[in-house]
Amino acid sequence: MKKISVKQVWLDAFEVITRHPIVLLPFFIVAFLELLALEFIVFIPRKPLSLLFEPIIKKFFGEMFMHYPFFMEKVPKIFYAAQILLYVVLGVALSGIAVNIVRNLKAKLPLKTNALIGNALRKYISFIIYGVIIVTLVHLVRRADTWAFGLLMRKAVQALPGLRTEIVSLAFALFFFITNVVLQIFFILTVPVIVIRNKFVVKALWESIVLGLKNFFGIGVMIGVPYLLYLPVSVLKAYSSQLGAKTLPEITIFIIAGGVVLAAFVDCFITVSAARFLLEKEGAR
Amino acid sequence: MKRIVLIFTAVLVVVLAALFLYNRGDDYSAEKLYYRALKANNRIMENPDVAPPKMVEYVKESLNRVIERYPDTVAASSARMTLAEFYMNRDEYDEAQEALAAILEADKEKRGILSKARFFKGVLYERQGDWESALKEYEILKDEFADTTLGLQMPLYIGRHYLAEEMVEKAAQSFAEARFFYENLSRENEGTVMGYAARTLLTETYMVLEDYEKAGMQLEKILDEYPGDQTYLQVLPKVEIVYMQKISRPEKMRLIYRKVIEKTNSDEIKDILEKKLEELEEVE
Repeated sequence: MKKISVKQVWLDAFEVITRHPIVLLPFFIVAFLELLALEFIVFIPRKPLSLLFEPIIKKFFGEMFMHYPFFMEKVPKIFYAAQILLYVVLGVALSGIAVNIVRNLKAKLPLKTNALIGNALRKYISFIIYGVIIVTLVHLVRRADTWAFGLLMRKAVQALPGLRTEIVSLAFALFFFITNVVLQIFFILTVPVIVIRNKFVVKALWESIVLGLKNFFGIGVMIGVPYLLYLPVSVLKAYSSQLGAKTLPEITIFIIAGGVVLAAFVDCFITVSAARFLLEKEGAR
Repeated sequence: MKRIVLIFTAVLVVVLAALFLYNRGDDYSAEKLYYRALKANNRIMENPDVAPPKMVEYVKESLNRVIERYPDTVAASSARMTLAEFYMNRDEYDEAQEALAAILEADKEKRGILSKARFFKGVLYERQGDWESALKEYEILKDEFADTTLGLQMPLYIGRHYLAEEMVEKAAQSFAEARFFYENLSRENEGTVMGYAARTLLTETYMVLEDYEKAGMQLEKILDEYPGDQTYLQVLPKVEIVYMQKISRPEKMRLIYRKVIEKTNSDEIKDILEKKLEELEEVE
């Protein structure tokens, strides 16, 4: 079987994006909705949104978090919840549309908006199930990471009593980044398999895991390197509360917004790369 | 594609602008402005002697802006108080007096804030060496604001002042008044937070007077009148100081431990006290 070069996949993905920027549109839509959600979240303690959200904030976080600057501490948490919702309801389906665009471009088929949306709607249940599974997995990985990292840190602190908390935060951001990339190796091809191979989610998940196992390092490099671009944002997020205390609490909002914009490009590149990778596999078969 | 990006950007800008305009002048805006001023003020307080004049001006301007732009907000009340403290810390007494007068005028309904402003007024007089005027403020606090933390502490504060100044007669008179004041309050408000606070301050008065027998009795009264784990945790260390360090009454201490062990529902407190009882018996 023909070996697929990661470099070639990247070059192809880059060419697709530059020649057909329409493939970016699904990711821009997600970014737009996330930024819109962020704007509304920032205004939750103020009217008219406070009328709806004040009881919720008070119940979950306490009265003081309806006030500045305490509310700013909760913005990342609330935004994360909104992001998960958007990802499950729309994000996966839109990346499915992006994969469809890549497939049509490769097959030299026309890009018809109605057909693209129709195809995505037909597979919507699969997308939703995949979204829920991946969100649950990321959550579980995070908890496992926290537990494992806590264990590791306890040992590290015993060995190095002067270990600074800033370094611990940085180490955790890196630790979570690596485990997240490893997780993605097994699941990144699920959406391309659903769209390109026309499989239901369970089978697509299985095929993605098998492909991940067979091409562990190839896929690892293919997605890990572009994800590195997002690493500074992850590190900044880990330090956002310290940064906020030194500058202004609003810095959190700018970090989140920057992350959303960057993620649109990085996610697009990774999704197109994954689609190209699978199409190459299909060709090789 | 460019058009779509432009539309998205325009929508985001319009929504943001609309939200900003709709909320212009609300409490949250005042809180934001106040927070920035407070942050700069805290930085000045870390090292007031080398504070850059620009920063000092910034704090003054920002606090005044909060007060002027958002006069009826909670942030404005806090800004008025911070401004008064700011002037006091810089020994700018006239400005501090003005700021305190503004608080007394603007925050008439807020007893906590009013009592603090009155107390600061007294402190300001004290710093200027005018004890008589300070005393007048403290008397007002004692008589009209006895339901506030500061008002309640005034009789003891006045006595302590005379003690520090070595004015023995005045001190004795003030402490006698303080005892009477706290005794009455604790009796009239038995079972309430106010009663608890008054009884605690009565104990403190006896402690200052080094009358440990009576201080111990008051502490026992607190334990009887306000049973509860919170009370035990707060009061028992004081009882130990009185009965174990100041006057040697181990038998009283044992009795109190046993009483609390009987009354408490907390296994943790029971364990601790049983250990303490064992230790006491071992020593004996």
